[in-house]
Amino acid sequence: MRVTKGAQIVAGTALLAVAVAACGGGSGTSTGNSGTSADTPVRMELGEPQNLLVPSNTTESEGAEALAAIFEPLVNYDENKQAVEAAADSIKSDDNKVWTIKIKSGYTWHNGEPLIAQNYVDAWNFAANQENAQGAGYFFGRIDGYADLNPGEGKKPATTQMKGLKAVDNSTLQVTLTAPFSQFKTMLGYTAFYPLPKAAFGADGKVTNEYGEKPIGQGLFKLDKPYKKGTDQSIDLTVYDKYPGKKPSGWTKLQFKLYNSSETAYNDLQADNIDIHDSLPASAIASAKTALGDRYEDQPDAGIGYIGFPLKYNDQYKDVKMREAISMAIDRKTIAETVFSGTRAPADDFINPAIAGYRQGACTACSYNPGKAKEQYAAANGPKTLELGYNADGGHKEWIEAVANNLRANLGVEVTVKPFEKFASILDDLDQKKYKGMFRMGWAIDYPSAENYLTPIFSTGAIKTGSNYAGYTNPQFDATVAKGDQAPTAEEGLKFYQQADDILIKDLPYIPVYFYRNNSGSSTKVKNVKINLLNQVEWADVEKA
Amino acid sequence: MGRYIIRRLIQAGPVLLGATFFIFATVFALPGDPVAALAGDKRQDPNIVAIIREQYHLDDPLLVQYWYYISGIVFHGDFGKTFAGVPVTQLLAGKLQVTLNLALVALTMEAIIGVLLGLWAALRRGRATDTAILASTLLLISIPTLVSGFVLQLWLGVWLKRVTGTEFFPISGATQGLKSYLLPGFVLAGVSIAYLTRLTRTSLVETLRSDYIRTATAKGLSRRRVIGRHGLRNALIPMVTYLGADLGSLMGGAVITETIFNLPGIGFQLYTGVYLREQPVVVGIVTILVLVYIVANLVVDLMYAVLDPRIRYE
Repeated sequence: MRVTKGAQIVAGTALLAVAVAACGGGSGTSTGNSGTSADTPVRMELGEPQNLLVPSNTTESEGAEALAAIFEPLVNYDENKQAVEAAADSIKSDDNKVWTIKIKSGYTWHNGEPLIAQNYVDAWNFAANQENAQGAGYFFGRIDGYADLNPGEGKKPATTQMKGLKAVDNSTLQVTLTAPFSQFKTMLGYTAFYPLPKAAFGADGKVTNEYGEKPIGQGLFKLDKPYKKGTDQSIDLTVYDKYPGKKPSGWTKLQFKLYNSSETAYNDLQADNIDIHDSLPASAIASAKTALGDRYEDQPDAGIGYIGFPLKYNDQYKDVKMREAISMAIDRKTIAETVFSGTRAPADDFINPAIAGYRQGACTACSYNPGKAKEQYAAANGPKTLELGYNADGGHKEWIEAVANNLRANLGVEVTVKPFEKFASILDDLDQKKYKGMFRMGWAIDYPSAENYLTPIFSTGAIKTGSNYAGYTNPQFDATVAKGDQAPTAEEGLKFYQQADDILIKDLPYIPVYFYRNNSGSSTKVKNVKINLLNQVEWADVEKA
Repeated sequence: MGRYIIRRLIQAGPVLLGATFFIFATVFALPGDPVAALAGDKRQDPNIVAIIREQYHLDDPLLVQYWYYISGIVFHGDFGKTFAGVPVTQLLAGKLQVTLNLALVALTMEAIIGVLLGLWAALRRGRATDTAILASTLLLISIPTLVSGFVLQLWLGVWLKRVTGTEFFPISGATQGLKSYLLPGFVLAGVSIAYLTRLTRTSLVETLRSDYIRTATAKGLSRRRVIGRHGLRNALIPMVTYLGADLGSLMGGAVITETIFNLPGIGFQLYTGVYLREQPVVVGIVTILVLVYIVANLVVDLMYAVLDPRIRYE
């Protein structure tokens, strides 16, 4: 009987585990519908942030959305897509090189300390230093002294300060750039430029992990408790009493619910379990329009999708007439409306409609014209077989196949579609000149300026340090962009950027295929949900219905 | 008995070590650059890439990297970090609980529903009930989790709430205790319920034909006692084997269910771990799964002795 008894204990333990586990699940916070309406949080769908919540290491949308609630940027963007001062009182420069930023009084950190200019100096120096390996470090590349903090692989920077960055007094920040840049003010609304309080830094001068879990900001909301990445299912926030700007009326609590699947979040939206969903899945668009009615919102998003050519080492694509023919053979409208269910719009410029400087129909070779395409392709003596590569992990297969079918049907060529498992594998193969075909490419802006669609992707300098994967180079283009950078005002700069855009349209180093759209929905419990240029919700305007 | 358990646990040591190395090497062999995978559609600053590579020893050969990993565990109790700087132990502690809850709810449902349905079918063998049960299990087997998950979520989560105004089955998350796990548990268990029903039915039907059942009936025992004590108990061995092995596959196979119902378990973490090539995460999760299999198998073996007195372990 000895055996049986021992086994009974084992079996009992197993059963107990079932019971304990069943009880254990109950320990989490309840999100039931109890409580008055002022206490019930406004709930929004969010994907899990990629990193801890440190502004300088956040270059993706989800972390940025959470941080935007906690921090007040120097500038916001108005309805005319122009940068307007937020935490800054004024941002001025006589020569576009030395910028003086005055900080508005009245802002305090969530721990009570006042916001001072030195907070910006500390944060930006930390972000730019290569030793700290911050993902958004490159944003500071235009500031004088950036090179000293980034001496290169294997070398240690001799200093921890950028010489172009100075706190003149508690409310005045002076930034010196290496070269004049008319769009500098526009850059300042981005996550990377948030300041950091003294409390963020540990004894070694680096931002601590504790801070990354519970960032202290100077914005509208403060965190209720540390966010344990990977474990927590929500990020909970409360309006900060001493926030000097506009506060939402009628509610004080905000909850980001973290989802892996946007389909699941859409089901929760339909059941009123969440209030805002700003990345509706393509599969839900058709039903969302009818199910949500005027609670469904569709607006331009600053992202753009291209087909690229390895111009730098494959002469096959050298002839611009042939690239134009390929471009005209692509039926962008059908792709945007059918393949993407309307979550994309046909591209007709290198600059996106969400941004000032876009001109409708600017790219003439972007309109669908199969007859002319075939003629021009034959005249340019284009190759009989084409290869088209894409990364198989990002939902690109369908539209790439559609493009391939367009080319087969309209140009009468063989098209091989080549999947790469990740985007990085395409980049690796392009770097090593191993892949000779066309490739899928995309761009999401860093800051809402037309310039951001030009320099990082098509300038000669970006071949080495940026995202110029085509290896396109045109001195005239570089010179025109430089004129825009040096223009006395942002508006005058824009004229030059549009000229540079015209050069791209003529040269067609990439083929613009689609612009992203932002498809969002809200529940019956909220109203007046506005999403800004950076795809972030304007919280102060949101009202409870 | 005690010695037997200890011997089995000691045998598990090399298995675990071998598994960690095998998984570590597999993740190492995946193509692509883990650092580049972090950047999305943008090129990263080469300096920063170099610094991250150094931090995580990505440029070292496989054996050296493995040594860093194992020595970290052995000497410092450090199971490594994700690329976002979160310790793997912290990451998995919470997630493991969720997946374990889900798997155990599923296993419980599977055991109860499967055995009852199987019993019912076996006792009504050849009649309409039996045929209906067999047909419905066939249906259950042929519906993929992905479909049943979304459909049930829409019907019982969205529509039922809209019609009744009460939330019976939460659509997502694991914040409402047992309630959160009922629907995902059922979806996860679906196919297994069907298999167990069929297994129970077959096993019981076969047992009920044996000589000792006829003897028991002839002795004048009640039908209840014949079936419960003599029939079911003897039919249980293949069912217990199946259930034991199933715990591991329920935990390992929970990735789809966890994604549909947005449960923060290890399934989805394993997927992102593989995608980002986060060796410590993948190895950690797989090791835990191996451990679950080992323990579940041990429990199953011990259960044999309970069910069949002829089996003894020394």
